[in-house]
Amino acid sequence: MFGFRRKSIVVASPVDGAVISISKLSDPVFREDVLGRGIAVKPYSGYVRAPAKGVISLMFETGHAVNLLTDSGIELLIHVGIDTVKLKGRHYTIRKNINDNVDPGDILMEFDADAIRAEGYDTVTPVVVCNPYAFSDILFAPEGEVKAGDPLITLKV
Amino acid sequence: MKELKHVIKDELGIHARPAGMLVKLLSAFSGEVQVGNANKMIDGKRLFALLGLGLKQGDEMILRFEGEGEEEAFTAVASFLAENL
Repeated sequence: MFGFRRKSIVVASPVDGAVISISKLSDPVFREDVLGRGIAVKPYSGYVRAPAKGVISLMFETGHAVNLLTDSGIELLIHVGIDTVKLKGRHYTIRKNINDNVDPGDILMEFDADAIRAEGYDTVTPVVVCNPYAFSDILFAPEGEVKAGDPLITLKV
Repeated sequence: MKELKHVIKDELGIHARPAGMLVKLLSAFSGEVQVGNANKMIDGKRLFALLGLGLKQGDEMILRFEGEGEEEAFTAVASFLAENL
C-alpha cells in the first residue's frame, strides 16, 4: 500500500510577532477564506522574511504583499497589513523581485510599522495558503508569540 | 464559448481583494474559465495564477467561459467587473 505515511511540510512565520487566528480579523476577504486558508501574525518588527525555500511568483509593486511558490508546491500569499494596497508603496521597501529564488530567512520586504499605523492602517499580516485543495490537512500554530522562522503552518500532502 | 473583455478601471489594478472575489465568483461556474490578456491566459479559478498576471489599470482583461451555464456566468462576471474593477 502507498500513502500510509503522509509527509508534513512546515511553513515558518515570516515575521516576529503575535499569532492571531484569521477568524479574528476585521477584513472578510481574509476572515472568510476568500483567498485560501491562513493565519495572521501581528508584527513586532519591520522585516518580512521568506518562510520557506521557493521562488517569488509575484512581488506587488507597492511592496505590501508577496506571492511565494515554495519548492514543496505551496502557493503562499503574505499580505503585510490590512487594506495597505491603498498606501501605494509608502512605508514599504522591496528587497526581492519576481522570479528570485529565496531561502528561508531571506528578507523579502521591509516596512515602517509606525508610519503605517500613523496613516490609520493595521499592520497585522495574514499568511495564506492559496491552494489549500492541494493538501490533505493544514494545521496552524496556536495564538502566542513567534519569532520569524518558527513554525506557523504545517501542511500534510 | 463566451468571451468577455474588460478594461481595468481600478487604479490599484488586480490586487488581493478583487482577485479573491473574482476567483470566488468564477469558481461557482462549473465549466472552464480562462482569464488573461493578449499575451497569456490562465485558469481563472486559481488565485495565484490570476494575481501573477499582474493586470494594471488600463489593461484589457479577457475572460473565456466554456461549459454549461456559460451565459449566466458571463452575465454575473460582467456585472461584477463593471462594479468592482
